[in-house]
Amino acid sequence: MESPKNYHDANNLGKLFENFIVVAIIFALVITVLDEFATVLDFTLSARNIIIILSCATDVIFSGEFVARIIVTRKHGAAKHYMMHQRGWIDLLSSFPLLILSSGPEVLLLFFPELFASGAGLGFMSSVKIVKAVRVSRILRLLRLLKIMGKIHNTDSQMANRHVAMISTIATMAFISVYSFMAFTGLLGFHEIESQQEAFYRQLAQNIQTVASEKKGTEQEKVDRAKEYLSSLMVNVTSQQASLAQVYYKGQLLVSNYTASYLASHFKYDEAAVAKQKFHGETHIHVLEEKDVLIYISTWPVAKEKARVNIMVFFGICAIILSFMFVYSRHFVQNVTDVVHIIQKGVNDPGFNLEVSIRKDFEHDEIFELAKSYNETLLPEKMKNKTANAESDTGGLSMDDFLK
Amino acid sequence: MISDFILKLISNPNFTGQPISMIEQQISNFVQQNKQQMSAVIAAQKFYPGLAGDKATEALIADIRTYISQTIVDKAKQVVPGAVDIPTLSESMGLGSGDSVLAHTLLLYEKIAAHKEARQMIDQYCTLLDERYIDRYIGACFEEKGYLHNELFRVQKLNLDAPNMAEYIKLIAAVVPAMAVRIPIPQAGPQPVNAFDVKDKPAQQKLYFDKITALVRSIAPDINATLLSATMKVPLAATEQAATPVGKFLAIMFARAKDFRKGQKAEKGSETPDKSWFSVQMRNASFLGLDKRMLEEFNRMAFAMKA
Repeated sequence: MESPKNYHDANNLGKLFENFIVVAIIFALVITVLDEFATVLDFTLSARNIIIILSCATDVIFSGEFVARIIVTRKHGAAKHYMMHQRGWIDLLSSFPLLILSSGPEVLLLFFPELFASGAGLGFMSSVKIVKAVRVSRILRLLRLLKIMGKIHNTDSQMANRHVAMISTIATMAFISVYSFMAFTGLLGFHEIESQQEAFYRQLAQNIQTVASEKKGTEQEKVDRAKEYLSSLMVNVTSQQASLAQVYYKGQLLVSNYTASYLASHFKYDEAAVAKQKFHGETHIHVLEEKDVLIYISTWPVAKEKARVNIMVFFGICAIILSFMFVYSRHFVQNVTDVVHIIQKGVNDPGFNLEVSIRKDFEHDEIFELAKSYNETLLPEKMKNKTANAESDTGGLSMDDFLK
Repeated sequence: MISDFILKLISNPNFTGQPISMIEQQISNFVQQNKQQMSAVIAAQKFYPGLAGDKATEALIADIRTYISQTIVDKAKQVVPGAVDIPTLSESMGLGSGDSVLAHTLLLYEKIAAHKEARQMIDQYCTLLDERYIDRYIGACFEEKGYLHNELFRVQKLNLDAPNMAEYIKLIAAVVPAMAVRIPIPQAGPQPVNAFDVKDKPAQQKLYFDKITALVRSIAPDINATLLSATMKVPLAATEQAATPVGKFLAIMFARAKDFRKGQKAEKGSETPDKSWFSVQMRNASFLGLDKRMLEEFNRMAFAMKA
């Protein structure tokens, strides 16, 4: 069996692949942020659709990459090493779950909305909404950049790179775990807002139904009464404030908070369809039906808040990783690996006689205590021996130097 | 060609930055330690037709010595005249006059370069001048006005400004390699000795001094007894009664030059080369016969100069 470490000895094709993956990671991260900004900044439907397709494409690439790595590492008997020590588990977490639970269904919904028309489809759609929190795991891809960034910033020190990668991973996973726990358990509060909203609009629907049908009259009189009631409620409410998209009574439009052009550019909206089918396949519209009353509730306001939280999580994790990468790694290298490197060189290289620079503020750290022994005992002794043995010192020459 | 072979040996990456005299020593040591294999190599290369075994290795060592002696003398001729500014020195110092002292020093080098230790010290002197060690540390000591400054002014009573002090010390240093020449002193034993061998034997020092003065003046008459007398203090151990501040200063400087590596720089996490060297040798001061307090001051100065 080959050594587990040999499988990643990259040839030219391998290097090309690695470079492609780095570009894909950066691209995927940009798409991830853009996805959230698309919600906050009201991107048009077509722009959001492009983002959905690109997100799915990156998830397909990373899932394929994970499979390829597993196949290659298995061939070298190093699959376990890859999963445990080369952060293969991060590759796994940031590929298939996203493809299966987030971007895949979104693309299916985009191209095959009829799949979600049935009851089973709707159930699946609601599960898609629940696992939207999974999208945060895209940020884990940032961790994969550590290897490359580590090389740019420091150092050939494997210890420094591994150490910084380890604590960055721990901190990021802790952050994501807390966020995911809060998202899944509803502690972020969005579920409560949505429930209150639903209860409020259900009550509104009942009121409209009551007002419209409390007196006898023609269909049109009932519609007019419902419209009048609703108008009196909507005084001083702008379309941005309202999560109420449209209200229908017996198939007739009572109120719409969006203009026709806005509906056409931002929603899957079919003007010609019957009331019940107007927003068919639109995930940002929630339908509420109460006898003759049909209310379309826009979930955008809540979605925007969720997106803001996601953006905060994304940049929070970026800040954690970049801090470790550029601030902590510098500290670690200066106070551990550089010291070890100098001592190691002093021990192994007969001609090396530089002292370790000892930082006064950390001089009692074990590593600097060791450095002190190197400076004050080993190095003087080595120099003394060199002077005493000058007559036998051959400066590392070998017979090969005479034969070459 | 043997000269190409020697050049190739000297250019070995193991020797990068090392003083050429140390390279010679290390090659000679290797040849001595591997005589049998070396004579086979030399025979195969046909450098010395008709010579075999020890004779061939001795011929190789002699050729290396000749090549390196000439290299060192050539370097001295190039470096010394421009680096020591004799005319600025006062006649009252009694060191002789004008450039003739330097010209005679170079004449002396040609003669004494055949001696291994003298050759090494000429090389070290060139390093001191090349790297402006004396100028830099005398300049720094005048700024610091600490132990060394006090020793030079109060103890040795050298009433010179910094540039003249540096020139004065450089001139004394120029003659120090003569102190490494081995000459027979029957009272010191059967083997020839140099000033470093008798540094803690005052009676033999006197005998050595008389002999070396005669020898030097026969080659370079413009190097006078005052200059030679000042030079004679350099090999003395710092603890000796007769040791002078200039002598102790130069002893440290020559020792530093011996370990100097051209192009060596501080690495990430290390101290600078000079600071490291002074700091380490503070702990070896008694072993090397150097002045510990002076080394401590050099250590501080090197730190301040980031040298």
